[in-house]
Amino acid sequence: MNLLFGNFSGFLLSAACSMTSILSSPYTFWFPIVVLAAITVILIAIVIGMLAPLLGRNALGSWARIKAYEEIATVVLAIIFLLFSSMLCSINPAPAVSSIGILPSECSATSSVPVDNLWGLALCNMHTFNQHITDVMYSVYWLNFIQDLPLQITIRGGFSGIGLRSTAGLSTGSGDLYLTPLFSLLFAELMVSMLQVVLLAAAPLLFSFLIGIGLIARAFGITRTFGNAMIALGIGIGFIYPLLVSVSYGFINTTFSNVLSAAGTSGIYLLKDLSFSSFLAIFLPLFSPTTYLSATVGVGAQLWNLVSLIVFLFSIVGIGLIFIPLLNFMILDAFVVDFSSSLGQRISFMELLTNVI
Amino acid sequence: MRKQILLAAVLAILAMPILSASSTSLLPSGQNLFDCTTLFSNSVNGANLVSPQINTYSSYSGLLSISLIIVLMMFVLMGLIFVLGIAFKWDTLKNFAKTEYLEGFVSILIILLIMGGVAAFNGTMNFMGNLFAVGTGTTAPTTFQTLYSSLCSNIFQKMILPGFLTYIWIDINKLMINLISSLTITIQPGGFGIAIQPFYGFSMINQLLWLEGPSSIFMLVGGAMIIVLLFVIYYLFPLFLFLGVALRTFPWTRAAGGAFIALFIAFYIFFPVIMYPFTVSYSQYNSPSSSALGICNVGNTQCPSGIGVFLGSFSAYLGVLDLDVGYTAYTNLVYFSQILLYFATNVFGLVISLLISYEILGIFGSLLGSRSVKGDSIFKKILSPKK
Repeated sequence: MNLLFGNFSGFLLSAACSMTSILSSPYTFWFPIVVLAAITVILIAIVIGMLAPLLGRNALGSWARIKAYEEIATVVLAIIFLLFSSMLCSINPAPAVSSIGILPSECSATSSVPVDNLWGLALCNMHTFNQHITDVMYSVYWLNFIQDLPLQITIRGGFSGIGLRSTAGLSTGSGDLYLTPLFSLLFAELMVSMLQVVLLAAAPLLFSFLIGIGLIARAFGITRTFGNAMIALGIGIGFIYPLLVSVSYGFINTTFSNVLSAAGTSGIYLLKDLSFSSFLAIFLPLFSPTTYLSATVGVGAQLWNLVSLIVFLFSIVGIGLIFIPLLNFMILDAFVVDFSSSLGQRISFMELLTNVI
Repeated sequence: MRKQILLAAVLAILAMPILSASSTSLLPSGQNLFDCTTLFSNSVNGANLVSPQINTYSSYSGLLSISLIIVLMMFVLMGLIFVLGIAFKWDTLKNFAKTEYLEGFVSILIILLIMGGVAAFNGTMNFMGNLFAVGTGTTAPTTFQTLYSSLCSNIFQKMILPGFLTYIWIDINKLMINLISSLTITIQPGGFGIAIQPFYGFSMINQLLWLEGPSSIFMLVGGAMIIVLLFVIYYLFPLFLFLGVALRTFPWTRAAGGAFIALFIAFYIFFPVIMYPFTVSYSQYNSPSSSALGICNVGNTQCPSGIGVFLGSFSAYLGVLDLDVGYTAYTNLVYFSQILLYFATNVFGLVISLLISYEILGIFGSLLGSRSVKGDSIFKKILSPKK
């Protein structure tokens, strides 16, 4: 698993994200091109505007004036997005998120994934959540192991061939019924969660690429509506989606950590990295009467505390795998549809995704 | 025989250090994580499952202040634009500024309606809650905090706890039935004779228990996921309200802000209110198994100490020796059907409340100008794939 999660930082943010190298930075490469295209169109419009009275076509002059104003608006928009991109690259949202209390400890300053900007924070949160999924998978594996232990109680008595015996297995046999399908389901959901990691890793490049395409297309009248749609999609995937992931999965991850802290342990209940000898040392006493005789609280209550911890952690992971992605994509789709509609060309992110799938 | 005894003694000596090791780390006297009062508490010393900043709601109060400041900044900006429109005699700018002023007032009105309306809604909720709580002996919730806490408590008592107790009861039941049904009496002097299993027929009961096992696990996990869902909605969704107000300030993101606010109204306010009546039962579930087996109900300070579990389980099954197995199976089925009834009611309530909440999302989304949550959205795409 370390090979899968270890070097994501290099994969994601290998390109520099800074204001100082506008022309070389991939996040702002589009700005000079947009300005060049806009200036070209303005010059053409000026020439047409100058020629229009000579040709006796005043309508052409009005058209040229409108086009020039639209190109000026495009340049203004490009400047706004340039500042916005630089802000996204340079502002670290971690302190603000920490003030709300949804910054996981794994995404602090000493994190293995650099949290320098919104994209880093979103990726760190998703990475941390995937680690929690694998932790839960480890515990499911060990629980299945325990469930299927072939322990038996045998009562035997008698003499000279006359007697009685009775045997009962302690294994509940429920491993194959619940835990194996659960393990498979978690593995499948982990794959879906990894897709989100890939999407987040591509978010900054998609942001700059789609915004750039959109602004360049916006400079020409024929492709203006297409450009508006691309801008809306770029902001949605590049800004809104990482923001939603940072908030929603930040909450899930901090709750997960707080639950473990409340239970008074940092991982033993998830049975991660448990050696066989440690496993024996922990679980064999469960079969010893002395464990129960020495207990000062009812065994049912003790068992319930353990069960409530495991079930709560499973439920958090389950909500994070089912409800949270649904919520995030629903909000993202709503934003992209409404924002693109207000810019003039409706586009739906979920329609694009379902059509591709 | 002597060799067998010697082998058993050696194994016991080898196992004694492990068995006698005091390892209470796996069975702590820690906390019940489904303690609904602290789970949905707003006090600083309440639930420690969320960060203190969220717990005190100070951060969300700060977000409300920021949202209002953004609205006020837009007022200032629109004022400047209006002045520019007058200076350059540009009617488009003046009309734009007037429209945005009105929208800003609408945003503030939305904040006031939602914040102030919660107080009025509490009174309505009190009335509705009393309606459904008649005869149940429960107290109707009066605030959203108590509503969520009551929902959690009802689901815990009706789904999670019965599921947990039933699963343990099933396990012990199967163990005892296997022990008794596998009892073999051998009369084989000199290696030749007969062997009989007089109670083998009891194993039929285990076939019934195999049906209950998955159901009890499903109840336990399903109930837990519903409570965690409520937990996420309670603490996370107020953030969407303030994000929606902030987004509503700008004309290009106004519709998206409306979608956020509609999401908050539908799922934070209406979802638990609609679900609440389905979780209120009209008779309390009583499990004879829990007291008979000596397993504590959570929160009961009169829990017997450890040995009570074993004594309880044996005493409950001494009755089997009277061959009264049919009655045992009958009572088992009766109580389990009672559990299933509450489970089905809660699940039905969950589905109904999700569907109605989604419709309310569309209604408020349309009211607030959001085109995306109107109808053709992701739920419909998933539930009704293209033909």
